[in-house]
Amino acid sequence: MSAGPGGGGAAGRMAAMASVDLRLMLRDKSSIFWIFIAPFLWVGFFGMFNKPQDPAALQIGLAILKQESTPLADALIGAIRAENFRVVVVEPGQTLPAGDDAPSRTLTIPAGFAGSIARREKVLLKFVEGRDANPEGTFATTVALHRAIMRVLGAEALGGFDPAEDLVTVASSWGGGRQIPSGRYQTIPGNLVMFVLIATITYGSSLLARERKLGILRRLMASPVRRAELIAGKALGRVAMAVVQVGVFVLMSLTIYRMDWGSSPAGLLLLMLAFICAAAAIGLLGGAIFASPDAASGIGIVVVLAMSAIGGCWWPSEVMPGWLRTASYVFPTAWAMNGLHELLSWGGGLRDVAVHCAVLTCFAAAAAMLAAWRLKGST
Amino acid sequence: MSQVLTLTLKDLRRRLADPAALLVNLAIPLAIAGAMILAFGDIGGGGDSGPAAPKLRLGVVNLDEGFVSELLAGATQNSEAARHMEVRQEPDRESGLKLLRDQEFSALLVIPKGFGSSVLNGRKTSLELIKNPAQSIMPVVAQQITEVGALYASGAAKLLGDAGPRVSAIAESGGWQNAQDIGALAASLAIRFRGVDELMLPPLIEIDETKQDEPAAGASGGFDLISWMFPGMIVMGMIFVGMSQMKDLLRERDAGTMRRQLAGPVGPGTLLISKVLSVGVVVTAACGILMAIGAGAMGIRWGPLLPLAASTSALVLAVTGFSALMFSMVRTERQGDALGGIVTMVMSLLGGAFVPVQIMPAWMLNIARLTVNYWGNETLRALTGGGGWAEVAPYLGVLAVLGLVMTSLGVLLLRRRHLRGAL
Repeated sequence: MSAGPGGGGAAGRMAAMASVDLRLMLRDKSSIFWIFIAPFLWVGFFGMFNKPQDPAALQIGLAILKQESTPLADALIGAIRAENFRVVVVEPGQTLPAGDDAPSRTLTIPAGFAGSIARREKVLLKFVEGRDANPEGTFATTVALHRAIMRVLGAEALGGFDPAEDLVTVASSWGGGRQIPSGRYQTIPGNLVMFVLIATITYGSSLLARERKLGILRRLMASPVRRAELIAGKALGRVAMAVVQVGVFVLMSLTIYRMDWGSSPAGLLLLMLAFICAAAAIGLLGGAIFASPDAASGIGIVVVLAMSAIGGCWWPSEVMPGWLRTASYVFPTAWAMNGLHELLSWGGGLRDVAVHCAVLTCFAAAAAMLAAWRLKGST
Repeated sequence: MSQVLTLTLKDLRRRLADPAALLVNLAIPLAIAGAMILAFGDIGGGGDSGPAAPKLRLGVVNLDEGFVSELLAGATQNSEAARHMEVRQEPDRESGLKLLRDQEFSALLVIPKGFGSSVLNGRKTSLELIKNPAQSIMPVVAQQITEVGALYASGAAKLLGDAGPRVSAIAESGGWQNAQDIGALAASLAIRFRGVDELMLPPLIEIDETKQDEPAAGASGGFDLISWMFPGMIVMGMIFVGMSQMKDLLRERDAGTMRRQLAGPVGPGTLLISKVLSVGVVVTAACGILMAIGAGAMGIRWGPLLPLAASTSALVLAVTGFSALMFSMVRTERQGDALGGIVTMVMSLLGGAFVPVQIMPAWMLNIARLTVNYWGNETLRALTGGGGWAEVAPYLGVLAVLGLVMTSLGVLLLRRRHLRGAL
């Protein structure tokens, strides 16, 4: 556990300490799994289920309880089908699907429907929204139902109302805002950020906590190493761990997933560097705070999971409520993820991630200062 | 038997004197569940009345100057529409697009120049809708609403027929003051509107919208993310706890306390059974704590008591047996640490803790069935889904058999290691 005080002065001594930390981490069999195997498993697994989705192709499930079989009821069902619903028609005498197949929305076409229309009497179609139905989906459903109804009534009133004869159509396109990152452009950055933190916070912290507990740091001070060099060397060790982890992800993304890392290598390099420094400093802080390695890795993993989830590593932050999205920026994960999306998904450059880099650097500086202050007592 | 109980109680007292590891193991599933609830649980939403009604934010740029486009743009601002929509008119396309970029508007409707004239003169035309790609469902709703507007416009054009160009001519020449023309037009329109008004103004078919009541006992209330997800977290937490508690065997071996206990009138089998039993009790406590948090903080209903008791007993047996089996093969505490985390996370991943097994490919589902997590998750999910004996029975049976086999095998292997002097 010598710092290797050989040539190269302070920089050499710090590099030697960093390389020892890195070797210690890589010697641990479980770290081999978490650094080199788990990323492939996690990205492969979640990438399998997180495919880019076209919202326009989204079909809302609707069960229609048909209590009469008339041409008008069939016309209404036909118009509803044209509205891009996933329609299940329950014929008279049949029962609604139950269990997992239970529809979250049902519409009832009552008995006497066609007769009432013929007599020009008002008809109420009972629409039941399931307890757990998505409110936005229900909103979309009622609008689409309204259009289907108008189509059917229009045909009755005007003697035919064929969609092909519509004078006014809608030409729609996507634009203006930013697309929600999905597929590998969400999965790979998300897992990269999370696994870098796992490496630095759980391994980095527990390794340092163990060295503090065993008095190794004090013994290191007996060698020709200054306290600042020792702390900087330990920080550099965590930087090295993070760099190895980032390297694994970059390699995986380029070779297996053929991912485009955007058009700003400088922006990407700076952002990654700032994030790596922040992660390393937080790892150092964890090791400086916790008295036992078990507590450091145990509490560390809880903190990493929470920061990753809220910071948008597991799902795009755009799907979270606005207040949580704002609150998530107290975590470095949110800045790292937003910066990566900026570069990889939204075509941003160095200028677009300048604030992200600055904030992550502030995280790094604050955590490193706190860690250095805490480590004074252990050295 | 009394020896086993005494040893188990003493072991439990020792374990509970330092509950830090237990708390950390419980914190992992709770952190994951807490994050998912914050993200998807509508906290800060509609309160007791359920999720807040969604509101569509729509930008409108009206490049036309006629009354038809004014009517269309204005229709989005009547009182009924205002309940569901926030509409903002912008003078040009660029400022409209800024609404999408900076203020999370769902879509921008652009009414083209000459729109009204085209409608009145029977020429095909189209409304332009630019949807915000940062949102999923609301832009689709915006498209549907615009298509409703287009439908009304098409219907009105069809209804007007050859009276349309006359209306257009009057509007363009500013001839609204010409009483003779207006009178002739009104007479023509009255004939056309006859029969239409009683069907469509207002629509004769209306939707009576209601929200489903609380489900009856045993009935499915549809998909509830938290009730689906939390059972997976509980099983994961139980395995974390089982593995970390079973690690105590190796700690005792290293400290030599196990061997010293054998100086008393206790056989190795009795000692090992009591150790495994005390792990089972801690796993039961962990399960109880997590379930209580699920019920109290997340409103999860765990279903009828007897099937729940049977399910948790079988699950505890399976988790304890699995941990015993794992630690009968682990040599060092460090190996145990490493293996515990890896095995638990990989089994949770494949066993359906994060993704429904129903959407997994067949080969992955076959692997899932080899995990304790799969059977545990499905058992608990059957209960949170309103199921009873009939629904949990298929999973319960497998869990119980798995538990018995793994526990017996684990104790046997641990005993053999102990007799070899390796434990």
